[in-house]
Amino acid sequence: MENKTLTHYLQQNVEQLEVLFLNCGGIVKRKITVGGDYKTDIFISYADNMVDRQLLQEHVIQNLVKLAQLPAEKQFAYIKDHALESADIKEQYTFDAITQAIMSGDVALLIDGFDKALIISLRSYPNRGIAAVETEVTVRGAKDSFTEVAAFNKVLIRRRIKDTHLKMESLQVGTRSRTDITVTYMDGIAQQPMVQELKKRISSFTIDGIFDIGMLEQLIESEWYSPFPQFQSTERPDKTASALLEGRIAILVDNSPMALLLPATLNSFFQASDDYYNRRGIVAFIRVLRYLAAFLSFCLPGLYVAVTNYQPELVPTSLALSFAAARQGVPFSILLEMIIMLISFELLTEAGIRLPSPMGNTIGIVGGLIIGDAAVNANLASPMAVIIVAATAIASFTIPNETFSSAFRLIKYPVLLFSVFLGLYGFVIGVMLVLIHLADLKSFGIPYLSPYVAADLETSGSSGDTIRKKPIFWLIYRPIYADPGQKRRLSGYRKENMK
Amino acid sequence: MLVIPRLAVSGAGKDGLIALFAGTVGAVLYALLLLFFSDRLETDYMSQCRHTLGRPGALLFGLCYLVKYFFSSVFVLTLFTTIIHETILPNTNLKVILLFLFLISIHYGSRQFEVRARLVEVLYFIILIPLGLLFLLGIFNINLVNLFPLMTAPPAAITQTGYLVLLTYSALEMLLFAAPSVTDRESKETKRNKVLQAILLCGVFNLLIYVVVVGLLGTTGATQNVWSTVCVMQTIEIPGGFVPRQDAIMLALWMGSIFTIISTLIFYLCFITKAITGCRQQRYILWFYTIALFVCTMKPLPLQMLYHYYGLYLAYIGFPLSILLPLLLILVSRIKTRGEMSHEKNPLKA
Amino acid sequence: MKRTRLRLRGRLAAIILLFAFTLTGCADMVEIQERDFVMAMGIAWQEEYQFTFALPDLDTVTGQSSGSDQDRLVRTIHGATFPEIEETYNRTSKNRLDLRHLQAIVFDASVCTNPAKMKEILEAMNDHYELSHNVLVFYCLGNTKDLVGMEGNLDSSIGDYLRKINKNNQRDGVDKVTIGQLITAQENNTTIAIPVIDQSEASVFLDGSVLFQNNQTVRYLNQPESALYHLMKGEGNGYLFQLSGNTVIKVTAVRDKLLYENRTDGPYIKLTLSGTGQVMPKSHGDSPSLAGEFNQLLASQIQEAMMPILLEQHLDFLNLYEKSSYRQRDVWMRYQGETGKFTDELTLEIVVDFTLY
Repeated sequence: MENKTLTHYLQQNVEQLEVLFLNCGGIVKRKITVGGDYKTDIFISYADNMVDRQLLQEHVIQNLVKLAQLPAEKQFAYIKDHALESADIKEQYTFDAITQAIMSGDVALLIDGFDKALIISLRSYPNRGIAAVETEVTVRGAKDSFTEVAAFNKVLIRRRIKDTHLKMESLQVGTRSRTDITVTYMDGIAQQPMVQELKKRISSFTIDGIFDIGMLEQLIESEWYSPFPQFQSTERPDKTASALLEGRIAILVDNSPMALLLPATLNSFFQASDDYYNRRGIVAFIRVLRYLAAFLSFCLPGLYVAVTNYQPELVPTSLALSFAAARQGVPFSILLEMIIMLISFELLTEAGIRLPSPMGNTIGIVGGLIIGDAAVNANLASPMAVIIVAATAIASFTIPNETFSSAFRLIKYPVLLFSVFLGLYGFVIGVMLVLIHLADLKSFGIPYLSPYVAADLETSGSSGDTIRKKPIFWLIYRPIYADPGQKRRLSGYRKENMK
Repeated sequence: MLVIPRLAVSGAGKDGLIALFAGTVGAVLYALLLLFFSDRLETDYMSQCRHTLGRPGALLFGLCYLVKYFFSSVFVLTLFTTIIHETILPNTNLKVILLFLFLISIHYGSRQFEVRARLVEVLYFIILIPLGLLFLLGIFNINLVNLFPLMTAPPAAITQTGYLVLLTYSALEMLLFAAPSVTDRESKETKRNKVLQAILLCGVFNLLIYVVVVGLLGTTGATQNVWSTVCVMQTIEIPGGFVPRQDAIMLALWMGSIFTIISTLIFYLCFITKAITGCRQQRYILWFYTIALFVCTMKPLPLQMLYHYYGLYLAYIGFPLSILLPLLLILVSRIKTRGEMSHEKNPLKA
Repeated sequence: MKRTRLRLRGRLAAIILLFAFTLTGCADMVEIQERDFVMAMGIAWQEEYQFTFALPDLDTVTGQSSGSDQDRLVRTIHGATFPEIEETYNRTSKNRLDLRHLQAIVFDASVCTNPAKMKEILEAMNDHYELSHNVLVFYCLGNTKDLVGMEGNLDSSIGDYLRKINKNNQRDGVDKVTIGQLITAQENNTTIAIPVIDQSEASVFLDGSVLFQNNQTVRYLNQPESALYHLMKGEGNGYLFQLSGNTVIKVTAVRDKLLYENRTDGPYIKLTLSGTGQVMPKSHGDSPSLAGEFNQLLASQIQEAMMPILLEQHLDFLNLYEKSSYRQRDVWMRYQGETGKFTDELTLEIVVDFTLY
């Protein structure tokens, strides 16, 4: 869009705006004449349903209409100071800025005789309000989640961190969508080179439009071919605030009800919000369970195939005989059987997501009872295969982060393939490939396997928040993400003082 | 650790324990010597070679190491392929096992130093599991009769076996190449302590494995069984009895170390070649060694013969050179430095 | 990573993997239902080896109806070598022979009294990776074919039955005897006692043990002798001894203590057996002379039953010479390579000192 500037002639400016907004439905335009002896024309334009009409009516239009007299000179300043009851008023000089403001939900006020416009912020988007979390449900802790309105999301974070060091830098991405991006970080805790690098990456591409944080994630991550996410997405404000205090950076994208946290390590995907709200014993147990679940979610099918086809001595005799008896009469090879069951489950999962909720329960009954049971009764699959697939699915659902668990959904197939062809050796090869990939992966310079590796990067001791989570009063140091000069987060705490 | 018990027992009988101990002490001294050499290097080893001995000298030096690591790679690839073939995949073509072992090791070896170090940090604990299990479950069933009496073998046999045990620590030579990668904040003392800790830990594990293997199988059994450690893995039982046989699981866990060893050798082959040829593109070097190693291992010698020749090479050429070469380099470097005018700056320090 | 390089790498990896996977032929892949898991294996020798394999009845073991052929639960194969027998089996069966879940190996006299064949078969088993070294070993007084042929007549597979009966009768401190231990004993020339099983019409039962040395069985020990053997080794509990007046002593714990001396006229060993015993019925426990009586009884039984094996048959069933390696080095060095002379010149004093309660 041309970056043309306004002229002093209102009519020319209006004509230009008409051209720009030609066939753009929903843009309201009104011209009023105000003032007494020194009348002047004012042109108001805004996008319908994106402004608070009541505020506009009461605090702008009414005031303008009631202006009895305008001075001969400096009418622009007079109108700005006396007629507009809003704290958020800017002056803009270009059509680009004005149209951008209108499309963002601001009201544009053009005054005849002046080559600038007043932009009044009276935004009021249609939104679904602050809803409860859907994907990261916790038993304890806040239940509010991010919404599609970035402004609200910023408020949700600010409520939790009332510190002037909480910086929220606004950027825009998308030549046509002009999506507002907010880079949020704690000044002094987050590593500045990381913030700069992020901003550099965001400004390094030109794209039509961004509609979700996922698109931005794909554009700025370095190892795009990896199934493992290098950023963590969350819909929880408390998790975002906690991440900011650890020295991570959060990105908010307008129209996306999630925040993107970076850098992300393997360990961060196993952390859930209520790990910090619950008692230490149970949290330690659940953490171990999650790691075990992650292992099972990508290893179990491959291990089952490797053991039954190549190394049956690894299972007790009675179990081996049970496997053998169960597989009698199954017409498919074990590989095909596993693939069929796994794909069937993937289909059920996808169908369950797409189905409207009243029908969602049906999928559980259809999938679990009818297909699973019928398949076994018809000898199309062995009971063990059904159990393995079910256990794999349950294990993958135990992982708190959905994007991260999707990686395991994918990589279990190559591991299965290797196991089928080379047994336990192939299984180890598959696992080694995954491990090599993870060891090579970095998220903004932080090794993905931190803090289990590169212990020397933890300059002031371990953060203590890994498989074995320390009690909160022992989490003295921030993790590896934080600026080295700001590693300590807790001090002066003595348990003896509690007695 | 797979071969240590057999190596010790076949050379020194029940005095393999003493030979192991002697070999470990030798390894400590060897490591101290290598650290001494690395501390006297002004820059990394190959650069120092090039600067001190010139390009031909560096080429010669580099070739010595390349031959050694190439031979070691062939040996290790053959050894592990044979183990896997004889245990987990008896009917699978050796070449297929080799191909996958090779591919994964190449993929692993092509990573940077830092990446490989990270993976070793993870695998370290995984690999310790079978060792720990082997020791904990096997130690209570050992028969002391198999381990005693000591001091029955001739001292020459004990010494020779001790030397063979020392040869199993020949990977310590990589300290010369790896030392510059250790960050500056590590003081010399810390580095030395860490290296010594690693060797002692290794020595302790070797000793424990020896005690368990020989204690369970006896000297004859340990000598006659080529894979005596694997044999012992079969005999131990985990209380609770869920897994009737542990050997396949233990071997699976140990396979991580197999890939690590082979990839390390490949890494250093590429590293040294890059240093002596000045080639900047590692992938060309990697392709060369991929093909060369694959061709050499496709038609392997019988393992026993390869073991024998490799042992001879290491004992008479490989190991002595690992001390003589850096010593020669440092001596020449010192002579050159003293011969120069005192006001002349050392270009490496500029 | 640059797109072109990634694409090239991806294509190369795909080609190599495709090539490699097609090469494998999945040679080692045998689906679990296509394996014959042998539960017990009987070995005999009559001009050639006779192996009797007992396969499990899947219906009985798993409770699932698998349609297994009841008539094919026991198979006997003849062959000159162990590998030949395996090959013959696979040639004549739709399923692959799988020894990974073998529970028990049963030898009989025909092979155990033939040192050459015993050595051969043990070496073959040692080289056979599939055969685990912790498979139990038994000696059959009758015919292995008949014993293993009881598969299907018991409420579980014969291998499982043998494993459980052995576990049921395993006394504290007494190791189960496995093929690995047998091989180790054979390699190191030590003596080991193999449990003996016998069969009646419808049952299989344990009946003492047999001493194995130098690749052959050399002496059968009945139940009482077997108990004395274990007691002399300082292992086991629950052995019952009857004294006068219907008093029964149940040995609850035993320890052995060996004292070696290298005397000029030969090695001297003092074996002190101590431990605790329970008096049954308890009312008889008040008599102070019971302990003495029991100790005397035990000592005399050992003297009569076990000492002739050592001193007259020159069978070092307690591995006393081997134990001197860590107890009295001088004795070991003196008789190195001359274990016969060791037993000839040995003076063994046995002291029994049990405490009763």
